[in-house]
Amino acid sequence: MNNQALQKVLIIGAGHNDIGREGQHDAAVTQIGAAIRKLGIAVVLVDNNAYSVAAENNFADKVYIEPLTVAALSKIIETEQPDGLIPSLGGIQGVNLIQGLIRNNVLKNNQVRLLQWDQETIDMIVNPALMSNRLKALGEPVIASQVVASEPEAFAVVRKVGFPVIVKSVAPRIEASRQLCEDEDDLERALTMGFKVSATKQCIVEQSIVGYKELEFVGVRDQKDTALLISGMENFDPVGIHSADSIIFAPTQTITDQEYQQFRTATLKIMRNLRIVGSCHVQFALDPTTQNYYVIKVTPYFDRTMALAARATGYPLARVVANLLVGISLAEVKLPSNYRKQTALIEPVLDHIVCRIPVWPFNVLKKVSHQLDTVMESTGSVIGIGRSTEEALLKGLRSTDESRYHVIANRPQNYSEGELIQRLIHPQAGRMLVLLEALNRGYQIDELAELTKIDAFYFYKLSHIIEIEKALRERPFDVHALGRAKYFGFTDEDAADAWHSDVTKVHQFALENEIQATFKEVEPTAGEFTEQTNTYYSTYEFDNESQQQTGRRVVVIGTGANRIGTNHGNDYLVSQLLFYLKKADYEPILINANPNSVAMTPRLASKRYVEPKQYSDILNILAIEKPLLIFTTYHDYRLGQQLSQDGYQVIQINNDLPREQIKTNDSPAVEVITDGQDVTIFGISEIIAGNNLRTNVRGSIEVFPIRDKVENQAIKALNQEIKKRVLAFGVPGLYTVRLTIVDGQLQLATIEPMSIAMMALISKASGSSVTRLLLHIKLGEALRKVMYDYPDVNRLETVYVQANTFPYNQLQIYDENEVTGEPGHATGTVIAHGKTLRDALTELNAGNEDTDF
Amino acid sequence: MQKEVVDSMAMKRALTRITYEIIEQNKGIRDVVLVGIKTRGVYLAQRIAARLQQLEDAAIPVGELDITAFRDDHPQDVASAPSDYQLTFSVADKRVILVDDVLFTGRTIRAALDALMGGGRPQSIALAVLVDRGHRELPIRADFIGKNIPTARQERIKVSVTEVDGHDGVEIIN
Amino acid sequence: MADRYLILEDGSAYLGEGFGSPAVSTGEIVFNTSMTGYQEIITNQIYHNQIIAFTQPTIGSYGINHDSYESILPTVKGVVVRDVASISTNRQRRWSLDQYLKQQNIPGISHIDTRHLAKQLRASGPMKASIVDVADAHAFDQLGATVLTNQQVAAVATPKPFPNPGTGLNVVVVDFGLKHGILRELSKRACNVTVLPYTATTEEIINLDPDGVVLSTGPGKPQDLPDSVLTMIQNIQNRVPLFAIGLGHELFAMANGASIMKLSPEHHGANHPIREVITNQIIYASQGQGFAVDPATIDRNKLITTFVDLIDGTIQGLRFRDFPAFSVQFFPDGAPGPTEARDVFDEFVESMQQARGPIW
Repeated sequence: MNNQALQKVLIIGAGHNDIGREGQHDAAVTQIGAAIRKLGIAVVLVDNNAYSVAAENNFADKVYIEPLTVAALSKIIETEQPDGLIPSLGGIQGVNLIQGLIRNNVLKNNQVRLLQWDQETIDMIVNPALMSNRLKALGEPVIASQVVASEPEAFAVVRKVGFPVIVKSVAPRIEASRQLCEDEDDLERALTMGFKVSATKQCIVEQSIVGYKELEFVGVRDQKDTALLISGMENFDPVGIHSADSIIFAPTQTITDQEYQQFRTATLKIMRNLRIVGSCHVQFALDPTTQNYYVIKVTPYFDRTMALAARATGYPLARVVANLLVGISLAEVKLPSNYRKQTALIEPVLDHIVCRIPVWPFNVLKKVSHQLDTVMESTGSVIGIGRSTEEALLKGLRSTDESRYHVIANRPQNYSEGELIQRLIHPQAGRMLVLLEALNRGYQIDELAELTKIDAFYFYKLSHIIEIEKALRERPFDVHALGRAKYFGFTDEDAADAWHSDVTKVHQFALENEIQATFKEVEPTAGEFTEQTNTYYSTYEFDNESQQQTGRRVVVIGTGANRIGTNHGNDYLVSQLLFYLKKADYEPILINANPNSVAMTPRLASKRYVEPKQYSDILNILAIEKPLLIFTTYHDYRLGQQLSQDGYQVIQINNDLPREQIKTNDSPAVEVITDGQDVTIFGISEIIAGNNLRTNVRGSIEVFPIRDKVENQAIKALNQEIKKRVLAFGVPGLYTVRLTIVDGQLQLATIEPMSIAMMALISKASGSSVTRLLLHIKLGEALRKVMYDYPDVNRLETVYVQANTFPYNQLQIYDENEVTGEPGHATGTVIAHGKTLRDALTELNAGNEDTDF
Repeated sequence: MQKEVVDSMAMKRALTRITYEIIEQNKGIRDVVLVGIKTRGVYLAQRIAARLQQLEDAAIPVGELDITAFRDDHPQDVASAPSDYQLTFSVADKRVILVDDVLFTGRTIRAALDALMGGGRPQSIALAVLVDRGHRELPIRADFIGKNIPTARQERIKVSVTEVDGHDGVEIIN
Repeated sequence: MADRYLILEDGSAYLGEGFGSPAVSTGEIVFNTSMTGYQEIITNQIYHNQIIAFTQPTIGSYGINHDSYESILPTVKGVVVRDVASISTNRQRRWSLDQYLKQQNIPGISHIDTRHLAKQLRASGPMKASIVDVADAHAFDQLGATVLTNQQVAAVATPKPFPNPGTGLNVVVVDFGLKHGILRELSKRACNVTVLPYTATTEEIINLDPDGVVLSTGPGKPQDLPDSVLTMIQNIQNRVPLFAIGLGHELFAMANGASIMKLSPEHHGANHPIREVITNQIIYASQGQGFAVDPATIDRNKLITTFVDLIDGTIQGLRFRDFPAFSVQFFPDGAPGPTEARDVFDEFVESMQQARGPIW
């Protein structure tokens, strides 16, 4: 690959968010796109994700909001004539699209160079059997597996290797899962699903290694063949639970140096052999008794584990990769001055521990099996960072914002002995409580390690947590007990609960006794060198490294884990807030524990705290930062109220989901903005029934703007009344005024805060962010001043539509009562446009024929 | 059947060691020129030259010889005498190091020596080979050897270089 | 667990909890940034008389394993950690770190802000330190008065020759406090090894008819060793292939006229990029060095620089121009650390094979 001619590159975005596809791709695009532009290379981005941050705010030179199809991409390539294509930022869907572009000679005919990979690599990613052969030839151990095209063939394999087996789809059109099959029924079900999503109607049947330890290693490599390891991580849960549904620790906790080096060596060897330029994630299974291992999966495209590796180490991964993929070597990478010069070349070492905890959709989708297996069910994750395993684990659990996971709330569970053992062997979501219960009931550590295949090390750590909690309970307002508890990750709330006291009292008691949180930097050299990542985590130690941010500092409380419903949109909102706060010369400080969040992109906030959002955690940060303002969003309404009562200036932004699920056509609404004095109307939107798109669509579709309707005139006549009603509402903000038809007459129905989805839709349609407007009116500026350069939506000649995507298929929910398509079930949102509504709907459907709308 | 006897790492080491030995035996690299025998010998010579440049910060001339026309074991191509001198530089007073991938009967090297004549009188000519597989038919020996690989006469040795073959390595084929 | 203190020569004191042996001990404190391999590090004799502070926060999580020793009897003076995993069982069912340190009479101290300590040591360079029960004036006086021996090699190197039989090339290892990784790598390559004390004479070495000689790793300052060692190196290096590692590398450089300087900050970890000069490739290797060859004193007519640390430019490898004698500052055997530099052992074996000539 030579780079002399590289002047323009094309990035294919990942499309709408989904299970397994959170913000990490868009976060990578925002960082990599910006870094490439800095090198003087133009970036063209194609995406149809309504919540893409990269697709706004000039993160790319040119953005196409177009369907992610070979046809659409071909057209863009012909128009744009890019020199290079970056294949690693669009997930597996992106890889499939590139395979299509190669097959149709689109790259060749337009002289577009495939960056980062060989064409062969694409085939190997799409077809695991090819990858398996390559790894075998390389001398890397792989699991016995075979490609099958029919049930009888699959059963023939099982007769050879025996149950359990794993079934994977060949060339899946969606991010497909590995299904563990214990018996004939499982196998039949998995094959049906696997053949269905396979582009080649094939599946792979392989021997199961359930119960092995699972390790994940991430490396980077440049064109000159320099390669280094970014991070080695260890799954708490054994093989058999999808690694995205597993608790993960970085760095590895229980493997010896010999084992660690074996994986490091294998990771770099694989990257070199496949000639991957950029980053690569390799998953391994380790037989805990023999040190034998298997390579389970090689992922050279951006995924959640790479995002985790970057966040865990503080290594500027995306920025480095941006340089590598345009041909710059690791030794030549120039980083901003806050990093030491050779940081790209220094193999990261940690002096903190990171624990990643998945979060589940079960509080919303009741019918999903809570059983953990090889099918991914978590919608997101959070990380806890600390200086001990206990602290990292407790902070991670706390960051999920689910009190039922909360260890101290661990009251005796009332399952029978038999039920407990069942739950130990067949793990369910939230298994931590079960493990603690077993320890409380006196199960021996070795026995538990045997039953669960979780390393005994972790049971020692859990026992220690129980011990600390017990000491805390027994000694109310004991300085030593509190100090120790906090040293290992407990909070004021925990102590308040244990002591039947309240948080404020405990907080005061702690401060009086000099038990004070200190903050340390997340950086990749364990203190050996000076690196300024401006990213901190709390612990209770001697030295505090976080100094008050200078300038007009504001704290923005981030979204936390990606949850089903609003959160993917909320992270977009938070990212936009950060971006425009910085533009307005504020120094935004983000508090967030979500490793996949776009908001965590280094350039968005001036400073980051990777911390849980419990009240006392927030107070610790506020004590240092003393911000002028605090921003909270929808999920943190109560926290915002509390901080407000404490005397902080809090701006609460409560835009969330549409209030109700509207299933019929003709629900027009007027989208407005007000500063409390004045009102501006953006335009008219409409929610139409999903079956306008195709019959099996459950959700509804939002349309903006509506111009060609007869009732437009009628609506216009209502303008004065609308403005009056909005002003009567008083609070500056973005609103949706819904209309209904009563007796053939249009009437105002409700006024509600504009949904984040509508904000994204208007922003994408107008090409200018409404979050910026919202921010400025919330900061007290006059509407006239805020709106002066906002594009006139009435001049738009295009109709934009957007639909939510749902995880029902992935989660195997088929119950009609559950499969409602309400916005609260959404995991992502797709956007499209056209000259007419019909055109827009056609575009929306294109490439999304199998999408769960 | 093919069997890899030298992998890319071992090949890299062999070239590294040969480079150091060239420095050892020539007490530096003064007057040293490298002449690679086509095809793979040329790439090996270039790699040695690159290594010498890294160590000594001096560019070493690399010449290319095509000796297919000179070999005496192709009786049908009646020895077209070495008419044209192939190198772009003179070897007069130079310490020439001939580089080839495999040393077998010695006939290639003899032909290479012929082809070098006409370029002036070198100070010395030495021979570097990646593989010495024995079975010499002429009184020729290598001064620098990457690896001695004992072989049967009917076996074939295949040297691969990334530039031509996409990867580095030596295989025995039988 | 009892409260104990880590006190430093500069007057600072850290309160922590004792583990391992309850002994009071004094040594030079250094910090190591390796992510794995605490057992290998603790048992590496280069840390003789030193106290090791690990920046990796949880140490001891997989216990002590039979195949991870780098010496039989470790002689470190203390282990400083944020958190020690107090486990009594592990996958390989060996000792816990706590039990092991008790057996070996080595004190440990946990609950230390090791990140702050590392930053302090980064600025100050290594200092004398003690692990004590009480951090009073007396303890600081004792610490100040303690003179650490400069006879570290004599304390840890074998006093008597011993064999490590193999069926291949005949190698003499001169022991300055060798780490087992060197023997492990030679064994993997079938070498028939005789380990000689560092006092071995040229004659004693040559009488064993070696195909090659290894100068091992070891603790301390190379200048503290008798000149006879340098004479031996000068006499051996042009007779058989020579391979020197760590302290051996520093001695090899000295024998060829270079000077050794104190290195600050020191290198203890495996994260530095190291450039192999001849191929311009970058590798990663385990390092444990408090001294370095002064580049200004290298006689370029004699020695070639073969490896360079890209962080601070320190020399990581040398080679004699006229014969196959070479050295590396880093630990090519890893243990703990990356394995990509193990190749250097192959290079040594191939040099020996070449020196012996073809086998037909």
